[in-house]
Amino acid sequence: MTRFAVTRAIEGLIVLLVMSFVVYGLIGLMPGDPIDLMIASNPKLTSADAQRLRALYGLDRPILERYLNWLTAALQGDFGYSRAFARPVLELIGPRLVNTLVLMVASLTVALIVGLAAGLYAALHPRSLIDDLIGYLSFISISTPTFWLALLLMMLFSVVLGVLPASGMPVGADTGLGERLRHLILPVATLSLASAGGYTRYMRAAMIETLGQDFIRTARAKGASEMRVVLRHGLRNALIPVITVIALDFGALFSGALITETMFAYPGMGKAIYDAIMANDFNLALVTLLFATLTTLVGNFAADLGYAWLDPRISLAAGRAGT
Amino acid sequence: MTSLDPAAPTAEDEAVGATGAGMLLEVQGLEVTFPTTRGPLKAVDGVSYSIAAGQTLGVVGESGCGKSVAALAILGLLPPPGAVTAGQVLFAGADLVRLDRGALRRLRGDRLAMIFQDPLSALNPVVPIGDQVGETLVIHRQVAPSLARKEAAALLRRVGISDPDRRITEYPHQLSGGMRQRAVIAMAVACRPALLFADEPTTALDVTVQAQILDLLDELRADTGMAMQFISHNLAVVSRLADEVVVMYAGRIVERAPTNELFRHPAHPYTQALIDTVPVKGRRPLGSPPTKLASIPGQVADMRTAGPGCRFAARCPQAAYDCRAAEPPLREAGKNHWVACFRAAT
Repeated sequence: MTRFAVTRAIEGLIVLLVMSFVVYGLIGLMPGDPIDLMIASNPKLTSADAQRLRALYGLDRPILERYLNWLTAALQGDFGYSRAFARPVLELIGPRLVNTLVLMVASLTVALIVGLAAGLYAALHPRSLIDDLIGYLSFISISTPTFWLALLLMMLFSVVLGVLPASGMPVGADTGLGERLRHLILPVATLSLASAGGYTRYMRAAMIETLGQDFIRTARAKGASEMRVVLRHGLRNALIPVITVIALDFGALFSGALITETMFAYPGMGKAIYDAIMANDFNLALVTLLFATLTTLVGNFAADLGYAWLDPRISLAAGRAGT
Repeated sequence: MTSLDPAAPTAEDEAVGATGAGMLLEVQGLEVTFPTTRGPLKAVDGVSYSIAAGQTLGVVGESGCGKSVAALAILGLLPPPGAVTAGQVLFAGADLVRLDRGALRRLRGDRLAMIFQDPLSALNPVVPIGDQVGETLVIHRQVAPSLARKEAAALLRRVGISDPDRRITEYPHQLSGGMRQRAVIAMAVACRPALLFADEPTTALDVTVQAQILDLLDELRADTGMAMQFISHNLAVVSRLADEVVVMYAGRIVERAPTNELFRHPAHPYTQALIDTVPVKGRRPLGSPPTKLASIPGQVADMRTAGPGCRFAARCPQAAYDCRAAEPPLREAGKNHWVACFRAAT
């Protein structure tokens, strides 16, 4: 188990390294560099000045050399300055990271509770009226775009009812907990409603399939109560495929968070990525995009661990599980 | 075994009960129907038989003849939308068909138990063997799970699994096929049931293991005095264990007789054909070209579109006009020997 975890962690680091080069290269391909931005804001700069500045910042060097310089600094914990915010990148993303994690964990929790409970209920009452209703609702949830749902919720709760703030969560430690929670409600509702439908469908399908297995009949033949059959014999087996889907969905949750944060002007990583790219803030964009990669990797890693924990057939075949 | 449950009746007690008039299980006119898009399908159609305490009844027939469905119906384990539509099943004075779900559930695993064909899929892949075997005791004897695990080890030892203390912590995929079926049997006999339904328990195992499992079942029956309904498509296997054999075809009983009588004087053409399909050792001289194994031509008729007559008529070499006109009733062909055929000698 430990060996399995260590192997996966090393694989993850390699992926992160490769991705850092890809992202660096892609940002390098974007039209315009910091000097172009300086020229745009200061018409007095001559092209000779620009040439000198490029040489000064090393921007005339080949991309591989620039990347290696960045990597050397990054490995020493220096991710550079944010151009748009005029602060070190790390100092800038610290509180935003916390905000995003709060948003993602809260949304995931709500989505899991709603989705798994609804899916389980639907699986236990297949083709009932409530099953149909749950089915329709989850399809609505799956096919509703996040940004549109966010707009609808804003219109209802902020404009019509006027009970919740539409945007503008303040940054800083002096904000009260109650105020923070009030600002969290709509973003969490948006993000969790968007994922709950999918989880419901997966849970329903997995549970129905599991309940058709022979070992469920064995449990009934033993005289196990329906509760025991479902919770002890059904649920753990049904969760194996569901865990995989949820973990692979982690990346989607993050990009959903990006849109949601932007819609609600919620100061998190998603908003930071959006701001960084809109403002050509290379250093900030690089780190935030790498963070998105890291989120997906952590999600997959968690799926592997969860998988091995739920299914005894996996943990013993550590070599085979690394696919 | 006896040490597990000292209060349980001994083999002698139950044998005495068996010689009395009362049957342990009495199935009367059992009918099981599955609604399908092409009309209702009677998978079991008016089946009646009985089993005395400590006796083994063999139920034989091709795939789809209703032999497994009948057993599942008796235990209330029919897969939906299948349902018992007529008949009664008397067990220990109660009609299992009319018993409420909770009461039937309390009998299952305790007085009535069942083992299935494929032991790998019959075991939960993510629960340790010990917990699965001990669960029967947790459910019916309110034994604490930790204690049940210890009892499970004793049960595994009883069914011939070596090193049971290690095995209880293992998962089904770590056991061999034969060991898995032994574990399934241990699970079924944990509460010393009065009647065990064995649905093709050796079909998924290789031949040498098959014999061991059959010996184990016979041994357990002799030890505990339980009765058995042994379901199989394999006549040779049934002949080893059964006191009496019921032959089913397309949802109905076509012949019923004590095992020796059935093999010596099969009365129904279907039974005769089934016996002919059993390969006999030494029939072919060494070096001679292989002879073709005997088979019954045709296939089981669709019970929804079957005409009024005998269901085997279409495949029967002796069928005549009257066979297609009316269903032959079960009639006596000898002592305790019943057959549903117009052609059979009585």
